[in-house]
Amino acid sequence: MTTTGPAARSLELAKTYGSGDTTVHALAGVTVAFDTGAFTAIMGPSGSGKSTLMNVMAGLDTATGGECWIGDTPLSAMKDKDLTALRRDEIGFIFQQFNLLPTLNARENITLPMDIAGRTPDPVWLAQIVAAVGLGDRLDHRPDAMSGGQQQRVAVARALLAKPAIVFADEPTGNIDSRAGAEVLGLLRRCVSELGQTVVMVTHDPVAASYADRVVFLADGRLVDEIVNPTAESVLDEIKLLEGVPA
Amino acid sequence: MIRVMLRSLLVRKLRLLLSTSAIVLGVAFVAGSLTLTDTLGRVFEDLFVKVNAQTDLEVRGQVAIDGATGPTVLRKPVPAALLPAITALPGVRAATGDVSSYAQVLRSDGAAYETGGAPSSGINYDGNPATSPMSLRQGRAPAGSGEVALDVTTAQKAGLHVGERITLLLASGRQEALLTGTFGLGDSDNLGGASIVAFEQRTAERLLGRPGEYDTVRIAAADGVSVPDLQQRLTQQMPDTVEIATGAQIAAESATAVKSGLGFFSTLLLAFAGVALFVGAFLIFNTFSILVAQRQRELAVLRALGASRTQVTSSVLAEAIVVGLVASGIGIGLGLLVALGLRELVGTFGATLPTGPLVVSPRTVLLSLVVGVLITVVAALLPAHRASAVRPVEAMRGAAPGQASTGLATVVGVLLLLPGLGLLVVGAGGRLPLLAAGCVLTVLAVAALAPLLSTSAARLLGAPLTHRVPGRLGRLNAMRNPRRTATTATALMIGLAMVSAVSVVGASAKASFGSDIPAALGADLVLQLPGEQGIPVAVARELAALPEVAHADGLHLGQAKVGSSLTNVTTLPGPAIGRSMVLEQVSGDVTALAPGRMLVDQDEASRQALQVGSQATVQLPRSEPRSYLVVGTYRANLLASKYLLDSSAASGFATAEDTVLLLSARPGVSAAALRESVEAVTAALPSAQLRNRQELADSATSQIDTAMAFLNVLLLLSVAIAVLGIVNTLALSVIDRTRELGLLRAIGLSRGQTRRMITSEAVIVAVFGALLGIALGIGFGIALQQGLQDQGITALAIPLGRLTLFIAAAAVTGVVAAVLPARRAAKLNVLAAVATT
Ligand SMILES: Nc1ncnc2c1ncn2[C@@H]1O[C@H](COP(=O)(O)OP(=O)(O)OP(=O)(O)O)[C@@H](O)[C@H]1O
Ligand SMILES: [Mg+2]
Repeated sequence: MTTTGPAARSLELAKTYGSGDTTVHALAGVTVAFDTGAFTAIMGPSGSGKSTLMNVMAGLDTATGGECWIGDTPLSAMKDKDLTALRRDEIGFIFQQFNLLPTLNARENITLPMDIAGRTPDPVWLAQIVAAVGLGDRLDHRPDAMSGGQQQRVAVARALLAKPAIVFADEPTGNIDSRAGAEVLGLLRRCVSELGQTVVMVTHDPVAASYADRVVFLADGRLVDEIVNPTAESVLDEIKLLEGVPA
Repeated sequence: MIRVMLRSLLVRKLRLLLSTSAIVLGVAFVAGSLTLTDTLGRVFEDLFVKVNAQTDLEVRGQVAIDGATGPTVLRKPVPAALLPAITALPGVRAATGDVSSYAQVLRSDGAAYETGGAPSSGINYDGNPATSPMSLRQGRAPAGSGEVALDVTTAQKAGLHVGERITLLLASGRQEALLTGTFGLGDSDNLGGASIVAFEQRTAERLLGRPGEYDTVRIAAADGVSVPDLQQRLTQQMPDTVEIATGAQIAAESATAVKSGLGFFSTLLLAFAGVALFVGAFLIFNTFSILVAQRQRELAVLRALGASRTQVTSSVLAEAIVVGLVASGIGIGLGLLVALGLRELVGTFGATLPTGPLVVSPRTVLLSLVVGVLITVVAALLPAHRASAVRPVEAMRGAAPGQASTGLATVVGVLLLLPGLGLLVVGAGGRLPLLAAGCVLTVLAVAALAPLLSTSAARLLGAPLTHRVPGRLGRLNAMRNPRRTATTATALMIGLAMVSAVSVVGASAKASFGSDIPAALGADLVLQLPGEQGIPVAVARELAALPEVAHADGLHLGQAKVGSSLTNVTTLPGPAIGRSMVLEQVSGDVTALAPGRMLVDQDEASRQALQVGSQATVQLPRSEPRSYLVVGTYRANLLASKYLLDSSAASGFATAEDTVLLLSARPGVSAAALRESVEAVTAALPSAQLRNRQELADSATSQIDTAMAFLNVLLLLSVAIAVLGIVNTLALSVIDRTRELGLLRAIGLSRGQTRRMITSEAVIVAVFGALLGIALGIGFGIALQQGLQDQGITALAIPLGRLTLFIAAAAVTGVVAAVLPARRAAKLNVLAAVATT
């Protein structure tokens, strides 16, 4: 994998659900690149295809047209086995809810993907991440003894541990309050700035988007605009602008 | 509410199907057992009615041994002199005197024709259509002394054709005869598997009967004569030593006899069906518990919308009733197949059961339905109660339901365990019903206590799996819900406890017989015929005269009344004790057996309050009660019955032939030489069983093996249901943990690893259940062995190798049970799984 090119990109990526009258073009030809070491937010109205784009690019779902790459690896031709390995080794995930295994404690949850791969985490890196997550003494607790924000920070740590090429997060703050959300977003931001991690995050919240280096906007399965170095205000303005545009 | 319940039932079709399978199988076993018993009962009933259809009345002797009852009881003969008087009586159209005895048919290839336990008899051919149950099918009736007819089935199966000369073995020796015809009985070709050779009347009397005696006299009433009237007149005119019964009476008595024999068989089958249903109840309990847990949110919403606790409880119970009804219905249908299968099974274990159309009685249907529904509802009671305990506020939270405390179950478990163990200990003293009750209580107690153990057990058993992630996750999954794990394991435990107990008892019996039989046998060879048939006197005499034979001691086993109880006694020549049969003397002098004296098994002696010096009254079928002096007692002996009398008493038995011949070689004669010369004589008895010490022990142990195999096949169903339980629990757990599985797949758990994770959990649960079951089974087995000591199972043997094999088999079972749920888990669409709420 080259370090200079984008961490992930897509070309005319399309995803169609159903057929005939009920056809839905969730993605109608999306060409986008997520730069290495950058924090990108994806925004757009509900149903615009944000989650679909993320899922396809992360190898969780298959496209019906176009192509996408993680680094230089095209995904469309890959079998489930290789996709699983790719997800395990190159991609980190943070979901909106139910992120952790209830039977494992926080530390075990963090190291789970490495355990699955049969690798031992670099202890220095693990300590660094744990420190960044700021859970300290709660590492031996099970998820049901932690708040939503804490659980989500554990999920971030887990996504980072294997040093994936890219981390995808679908509305990681959608289920927690704004203070806990700010902690998670701050953590993601630091991961990008201080650890050089690439992060792609779907969000509805202009404030969350303002933590990113760049925001791309989707509408009706197409890329419609983008803002570099966004602020909450500029994002909000853009959303208003897009809502004014007839679909 | 009912609509809500039905809707939820339909949505959960698959889960329903899995959970009903336990009840389906259990009910099928019940229905199959009942159907088979009814069918066999009907077949015999029809047969006896047919056989006795031509008989209006029968003159038969009084019961030979006072106080003996039942239709197969030994009776005194009818004096032949009565026949002319009977025939001359007004109202009697015809009368025939019957005789019967042992007659073995040889097949066309010279081997004995095997009846699989049914009698091989010779009878008189009754050619009089007024009285005869026989209908000639082919050829003609036997006329002279060298002629016989055979029943159709035997002729066919033995490959014998009308017009050929055939060979028979009678009690008096080998006999050649011309096969003149075949006959049926009514319109059936055969009588319950028996082989029947018919001789011309006078020949039959000479070859099969005793001079001046008939077994019975059959009478046909003249047209227009009332049978009850004739019966009354005959009763008045005949001496007191005989009685008069109607054909219908005899048919009914015979049918009752067969049915009471079948009753035992049926009880045995139903007991195993009961075990299967018991295991099924655990499965239903688990399924409903899991379903209720999964529907926590839905139930809370119902409660929030105003449904009362009672409504929630009854909706779950209504679901159970529907499940029970559907399952029982399918089970009854399947029961017909089970009935056929059981008939085959019994067939493969040596007994031939007659065939006939299946009889499905309303009782079978009703009983199966009631049992199926009842078990399902009872098993669902606790889950239903828990469902109603869901608080409406839980509708608002997505929180996982808290673990219900195991406190009550623990208390119940301890309360059951103490009396259970107590009964086991008391029962081991020889009281088997108490022992059985102790087993049931202990199983229930362990089932109630198992959740306490399951977490530590899963941790321990899963430890070897933890070097890989799937194993580690599987182990955690097995630990996370102690009650679910425990219930699933318990279902397997029950089956394995029974199988293990059977193994321990079987191994102990083999060890006991394997050493006791050779020790009890002083002779070098033992000669027996199948089914305790008498050994022809001529053969016995010839063997005794062989130069290689030092002693040929004949044992005669038969029924007698000792004191006031009916029992088996054995007669043998006094000098045989010590040289042919070795007795372990307890008191008196066992070598002092002589006419008028008897020896008693020490256990029986203490039961009957007999000791050396006491007198006991013994009545044999053909002799008057007589007093015998007890001269010695001995430890239970597998070759002897509870009482030993001198051979001089043997004339009191119904037959003259001894049942066992113990042969010892003259000094200097090798075992091979002895055998060779004995075999030259017994070649005339193709079905003769000639065994030395080792072979005798082996034949006893191989019978034990057969019995064990039969029991294990019946128990297999319970184990199968338990395996279904594992499948079911895993499948439900996979549904439960859909999101979690999606997450694991998303972060890189491969399909193979997912499968291995589920498999690990299954193996842990299965091995846990197996260990519990084997531990219980060893305990039960030891208690049973202790309790069966006076049946000759004196040694205790625990087949550790076999039991270890069970653990391995359980692990394999776990792997197999996990196949479908694991495939399902591995196939989950990652996105859909993660999106599941
Ligand atoms: N499995 C599916 N089958 C059919 N249509 C689907 C499926 N998944 C998504 N869609 C449709 O595709 C479109 C894009 O969905 P997607 O989930 O990507 O939107 P989104 O931008 O993530 O919306 P939200 O902000 O509400 O999460 C929607 O119209 C949705 O209805
Ligand atoms: Mg979305």
